[in-house]
This record gives sequence, C-alpha cells and structure tokens, in this order.
Amino acid sequence: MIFADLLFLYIFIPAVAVCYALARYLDLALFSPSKHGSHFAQPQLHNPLQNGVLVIFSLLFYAWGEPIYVMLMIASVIVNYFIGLALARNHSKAVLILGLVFNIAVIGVFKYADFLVETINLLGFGIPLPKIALPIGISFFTFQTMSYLFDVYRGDAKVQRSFVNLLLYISMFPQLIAGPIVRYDTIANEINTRSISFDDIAEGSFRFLIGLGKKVILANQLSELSSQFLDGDVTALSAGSAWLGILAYTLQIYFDFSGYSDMAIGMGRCFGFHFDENFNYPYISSTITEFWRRWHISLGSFFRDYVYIPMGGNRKHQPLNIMVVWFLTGLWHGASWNFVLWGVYFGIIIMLEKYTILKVRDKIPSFILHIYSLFLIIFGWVLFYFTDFEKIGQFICSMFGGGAAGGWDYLAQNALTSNLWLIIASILCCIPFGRFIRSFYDESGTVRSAGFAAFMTAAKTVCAAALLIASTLLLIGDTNNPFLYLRF
Amino acid sequence: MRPQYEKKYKIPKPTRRKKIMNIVYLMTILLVFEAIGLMLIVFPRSEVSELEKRELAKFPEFTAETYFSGEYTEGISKWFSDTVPFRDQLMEMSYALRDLKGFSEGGSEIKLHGVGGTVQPESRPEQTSKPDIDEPVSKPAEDDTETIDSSATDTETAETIETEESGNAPIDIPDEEAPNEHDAVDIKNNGVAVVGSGADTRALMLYGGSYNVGEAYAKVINKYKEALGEGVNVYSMVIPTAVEFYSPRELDAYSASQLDNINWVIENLSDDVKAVDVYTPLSQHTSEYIYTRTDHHWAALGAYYAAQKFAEVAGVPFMDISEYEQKVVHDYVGSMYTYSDYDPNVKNNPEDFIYYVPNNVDYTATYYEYILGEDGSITGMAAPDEGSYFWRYSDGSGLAYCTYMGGDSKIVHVKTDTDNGRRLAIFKDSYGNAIPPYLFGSFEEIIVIDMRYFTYNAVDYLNENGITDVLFANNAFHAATASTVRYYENFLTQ
Repeated sequence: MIFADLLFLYIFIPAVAVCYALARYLDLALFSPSKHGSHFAQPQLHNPLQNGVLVIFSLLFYAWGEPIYVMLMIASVIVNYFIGLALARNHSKAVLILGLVFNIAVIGVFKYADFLVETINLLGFGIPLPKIALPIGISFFTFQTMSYLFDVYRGDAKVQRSFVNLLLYISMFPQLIAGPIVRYDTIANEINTRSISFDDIAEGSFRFLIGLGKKVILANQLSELSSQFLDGDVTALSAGSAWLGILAYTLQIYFDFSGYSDMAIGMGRCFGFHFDENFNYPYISSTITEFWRRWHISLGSFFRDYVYIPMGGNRKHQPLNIMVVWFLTGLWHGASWNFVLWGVYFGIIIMLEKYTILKVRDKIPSFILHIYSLFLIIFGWVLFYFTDFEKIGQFICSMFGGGAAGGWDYLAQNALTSNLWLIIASILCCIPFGRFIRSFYDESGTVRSAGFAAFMTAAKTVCAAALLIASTLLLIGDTNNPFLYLRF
Repeated sequence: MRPQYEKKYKIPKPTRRKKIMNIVYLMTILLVFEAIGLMLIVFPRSEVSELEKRELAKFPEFTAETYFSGEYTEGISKWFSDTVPFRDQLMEMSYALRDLKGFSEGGSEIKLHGVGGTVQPESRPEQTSKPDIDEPVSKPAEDDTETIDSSATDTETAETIETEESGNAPIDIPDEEAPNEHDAVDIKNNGVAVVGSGADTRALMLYGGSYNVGEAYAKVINKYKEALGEGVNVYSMVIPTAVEFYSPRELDAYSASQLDNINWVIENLSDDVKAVDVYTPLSQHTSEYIYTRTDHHWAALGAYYAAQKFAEVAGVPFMDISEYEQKVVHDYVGSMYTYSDYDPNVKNNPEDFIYYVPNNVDYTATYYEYILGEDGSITGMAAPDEGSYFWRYSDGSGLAYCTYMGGDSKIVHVKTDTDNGRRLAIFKDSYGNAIPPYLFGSFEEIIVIDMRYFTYNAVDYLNENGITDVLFANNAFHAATASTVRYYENFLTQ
C-alpha cells in the first residue's frame, strides 16, 4: 500500500485512527503509571495496546504489498532482537559484526544479488541470474535494524526487551517503506512512553496534507512533463526540451520524496512520535556539501555516524572515507552502476569543495554559488535517471544542442507554457516561502491580535481542505503513481 | 552534529488561544475528510466509465494464489480507486484541475499531449535493395493495451439504438461485446495536439509513420492480387487523416508527411493493383466537414469524396450526394477526448456528427458478429442477423461513429438492388466503415471485412462469394503499422 492512494487515505487511516484512539483510551485507563505506583517501575507497560495496534496495522500495511516478504521482515526483526539482547549483555564487537553481517547479507541477497552476478558475468562468467524480487522498503528497514544494533552497542540507547516494541520500531508504517530512516535512539523513549497533544495532531495532520499535496499535486503532474522528454528517444530532443525534462525531474524527485517524508513525519506525530527532519530546502544550497546536509538527511547522517566517523572521519585517510561513503550512498539508491557513478560524482565534488570553494566561499557572490550548485545537482539527476550509460551520453549531447532538434523548438516552448504555472508553483515550494508564511501563523498563536489569529486559522484550514480535495480528485482514476523512492 | 529542528520534549506549552486555533482547524478538516470519505464509501460504486468507454475494475476473487502473488490486495486497491462513486463526473473535474497547470499560447492555441519529439525526416530506402517484409511485420504491435472503442460497449447508449429504417426493430448487441482492443491507436502516433478554440477546436493525432512498413503494406496487397488472379480487381486506398490537412505549421516537425508515405505505398504497388488516390479530392474539400473534430475518424462527407474517387477508378456508377438524406447526431464528443488526456477544450466544443442515408435504395445487410472474450480476442461467432447498415445513436453519444454497422468486430454482407455483375469486398479499418453507403448503387453486393476480425482464408472466402473487386481501405496510420500487414498476411494463410 502506498500513502497516495484512496484506499489508504479513506479506509486505512480512519481504521487505524479509531483503533489507535480506542487503544490509547484503554492504555490510559489500565496501564497509566498512576495506577501502578512508581513511574519507573514498568516503563514498557505504558502503552502496550497502542503499540500493539500500530504493529498490527503496520504488518497489514506491509503485507498488502508484500504478502510473502512480510515474513522476511519479521524474521529479520527476530534475529536482530536476539542480537540486540546479546549486545546488551556484553557489548562485544564480535556480536555487533555478526549482526551487521546478517543485515548486510539480507540486503545483499534481496537487493544486490542480480547486480552482483551481472557484474561478475562481465568478467566472462556465465552464472544465471537469481532474479530475486526486491522486497519493498528493504533498504530502509535493514538500515533501521543496523542503526538499532549500533546504538545498543555504543550505549546510545537501551536495549529493547519487548519484541513487539522492536517490531514496532522497524515496521512502523509511516516510515517503513520509504523512510525517513528513523534511528533507534531518536524514538527509543517514545516507543515506551509518549504523549499526544492537540498540537501534535493538528501539526501532524497538516504536515501530512502538505506531503500529500507535494506528491499528488506537484510530483505526479511533473512526472508527465519529465517522462514526455526523458522516456522517449533522447537524441530527438532539443536542448530546451532536454533541460525542461531534467528540470521537471529535479522538481519531481524532490516533491515525491520529501512529500513522502512529510507524510511519514506528519503521521508519526499524530501517533506521538517525533521523527527527525529528512529535507531542509535542498535546492537553495550554495554548495554541494550543503546540499547533502539538506537532502535525505537521515541517510546522510546514517552514513556519517555509522561509516564515516567509525572509519576515522576527518582524522584518518579522509579522502578514502569520503569516497567509501559516497560509493555506498550511490549503491544504496539502486543495484545499478549508474547510481554508483552518481554517488561517486558527488563524492568527488564534495572532496574538491573541501579544498576549493569551502575555503573561499565568503568571497564568491552567492548567486554564482547557487547557480553552480544547481547546475551540478541537476546534472547529477541525469546520471541518476538513466540506468543506461549510452543514454546518459546521448542525453548530455542533446542538453547542449547536439540533438536532432537543435537548441530550442516548438515542443519545448509548448511544454513550457502549458506547464508554466505548475513549474512556477513548484519552484516557489522549493524555497522557504512556505516557512515564511508559516511564521505568521505561529506568531498569531501568541503575540498577534485575536482577529489575526482567526484569519490565520481560517487560512490554514482552507489551505488544508484545498490540498485534501485537490489531491483526492487527482487520485481518482490515477491507479499507478508509485513513489520513486519505493524502488530503493 | 545532527540537525535538531524541534527541541524534543521541550515544546512550549500551547497557549489557550493556540489550543482553540488547533481545535477549530482539526474539527473543520475532519469534517471535510469525513464528508469525502463517506461520499466514497456510502454511494453506489461505478461499474462502467462512459468517459473511457470501458468496464471498471472488479473486486478481485480471493484465492491463495492471488493472495500470495499480491494480485489480490493490489486488485482491491485498484478496484477501490477505479470504481469511486460518480467517477466520470469526478474525473472530468480532475482533468479540469490538471488543465490549470499552464496555458496554451494566445494566438496559436495548441496544446500537445504525449508528443515525445520531432519526427525524423526519412530518406527513401534505395530502390534496388530488397524490401525486408518480415522485419517490420514481425514487430509486436505497438500499444495493444490501449482501449479505444468503436463498438458499442456502453450499455446505456446501446439501449437507445434502433434501426434507421425499420424503426422499431432494435439490433441486439451481445453482452459479450468487449471494447475493441485493437482499434486505431495501436498505431504509429506521435502524440495528440489540440488546436484552435471554440467551434474550431480540433484534436489531431500526430503521425509517426515510416516507409518500411508502408512498403510491406504495399507488398501484402500485391500478394492478394497475385493470389486472386486476373479476374479480380484489387484496389488500394490509403486514407489521409485530419492531421495532414489541419495541423498548424508549428507542428510540422512533429508529424510526418502522410502524403509521402501514401505515395511510397503507391510506388510499391504492382502494376496490376489499382491505386485510388483519395488524397487529392480530400485536399480540395478541407473547408467542408470531411473530418470529425473530436474523434480520430473522418466524417461522412470525407468518405463520400473518397468513394466517388473509388467509383471512378473502378468504373462503376455513383449516386450523387443529393440522393441521400442527411442525419445528425448532435453534441458529439468523440474518442480524441480520451486520447488528449481529457482536454477540456475538446469536451467543451462538441460537434454535430452528420451522416448520409441513401433515399431510394433497397438493400439488406447481414451481420456476422464475432463474439469477443474479455481480452478482446475472438471467441466465437453469433448467428447471422439482418439489420440496417446504419445504427441510430442519440444526441450526445460518444459513439456516433459506430453509426456505420455499430463497430468493427463483424463481417457484414450488403446485398443491393443494383444489377451489374460487380461484387465488392472491402478490407478495412474503421475508416472503411463509412465508405459502403455510397456504393449501394454501384455494386450488387458489398462485403465489409475488418482487418482485425476475420477468421477465414481470404482467397477462399472471396472466391466463394464471387467477388469481382477487392478494396483495401485503411487510414495512413494503419498503413504504416506493422500489425496491419501481419493481419493481412495471416488472412492469406489461415
């Protein structure tokens, strides 16, 4: 099941909301700390019913799309549960390595087996491809299990003695299949005990609607524009068409992925969880280094804290550490060499930036830095989009006027005007314009006049209702709109 | 190091006012959410889409197999989203909303849908090289999954159909009739352009045809001539489509020349096959209603000029248009609405579908209807049934082009009161359906055979019926589509 789906919105969400509310009511009545004496006596018992409801719905959610692989996920959690317990007992590095090897083996077999065999076959072998179907979200949930082992090993978080609670951490449906990669120490406490205020539900639901709108209103429409130009014969494109196509994809992937993160964070908040942010207006970055602090933050920080720093960070062989991290970042995105190329491309740029731009950054006018960054980011999406290296070459050729249609043609002009409002709205949503408006709303809750508060509340409500109605309309009849990041 | 956007557990206690703001917001949005949710769940689910002319998804059947393959759950999601109550109305709103994403330029008013790139100018294959018929022919048909329908599937309209002349004898439309999976759009199109505004709005399918299929197309017609021998006249009529005459200059690079392709077919016909050049007469009448504006077909008057040309080439008498009665289906919005991704301009500018019924001709049309399975493949044939050649559609029906024989999946024998020893068979796509009415005074019998629905050996069938003239009437798209050639090849051997 995916979030941008009528069945999810209008059947699954109401069902989980009603059950969760009921469970919360019963939890408060039966397991409230006040009725059991000391607050610290049985911390796990604060919300067993709520956690149970979430686990059941999460498994249902996953099994909806993966009726068989749901067993794989549960099995993986069982293994990690026992490894976690062992780690808690003796903090042994050997146990940690054993656990990591297990998790890497899982993702290796189910995500990279074909890729590995294909690569080996390039050397002249003829091993048949295993052709194992990719379980949805495996890249996300195995990274979460690894984060759990790391955090327990390092003592950043206490071991989870309740299997159901660990299963909840891994399988929680808001972030299960497309992130953000929630690290165990982020929500370890909230799994055991959490509060939910009106503010949480109001903010969470609004955040969810923003994400839904990003996906359904912006990303889905942009995908028509991008596929118009990128999915056909790229040698027939004019430079204008090629740039429009890749610009549309640049916007599409951001709204698609950050929209999903918004929905995840929003739903999490409604259930009382506070996930870390995953995006922070990445396209306003002035350097590539900054871009990667703003784009898919949960992945970047995962590699930083669990690979880069343990390898020695900037103290020992930093260039090697950087390249390893970026090789892995690329590979994480897909079992194909173009993703590796894409990762290494950014690794090299970031390394070069360390010795050049970052040192003289203040002396360069910022608009030049923005143009520089955007150019490299957009160019990166070319490497990311085409899995076929020959097509990458052809497309780059067309981008610079080497295609059959030259520099600019009627098709580009027509696509530009017939999508102009969409493009302008998308660009506006890439800059912190919304945050600016949002600040008025936040102020109105405290310092502004009551009239202004009423106006802002009305504005927010109308905005939310418009997002919901427009998204629902656009979803009708649109049965095929998977999230891009589901395949990673 | 990690970015902390929210200070966890230190969220300032919301003020009373903030709490009221939150409650007002939450209650309102919940109301909207529940209203939509209830609408989606309580009202009866849609079963047929008139807009897309197809049956909507059915609730999947549960088996262990479908469950474990994921088909079952996926089927439920699809069913839920596909069959929402008031689907067609909501879809129209949805497409109107989509249309807000930009504007079409002031003067030219051109909107493109799915146009991928320029059409590469073609150089002619060298004359000396042997045409490679097998290669293009063996290519799989392009988009067989697209459903467009020329056959009456939508039940509501079908009920209003009655025969033109006998008035109250309705033609039975078998329930099994599935959407015609193979019609016009498994073809080499290069996207759709909607041009003009108001009553001049016209949706055009851009042409992406290529020479190598055209050559194969000519060769297969030559084979028919060879197989049928001297006693039978074989004609080839490749019909240009609207894009050839109504496409604005800006789109020249995106639609290949049909004239070039038609001429290329003619060049590759053997000397014994007679080419019927309908391009010239059509190009002389472009200010008349010879093509529909909102459908991918031509209009009755276009077929009249084409039939006139054919009669001239075939040397048969021809009735003037004044001997026909003009009929109209008002408020017609044809298939291009679907092909243009529901462009509101097409929807909002319906046309009058005009056709002509001969006044003083006695004829009987015998229908041999094919029964089609759910996937559109032939599963059997219904008992022969007599009826009018013209089916009556009510105003506003999107199926008005089915006026001619009610669609494609059938063989129709028309016996006329003409007595000149000439008996015609037409191998055709849906364009060909509009031609026979003008030839009732020209041939004793006309057998109409669709290129997608024919299960006999062509030569045997033609000989058994004493055919003297065979006309291949296909539009320029089909003449450039590999599957067309494959169908005709198969008819010779099946």
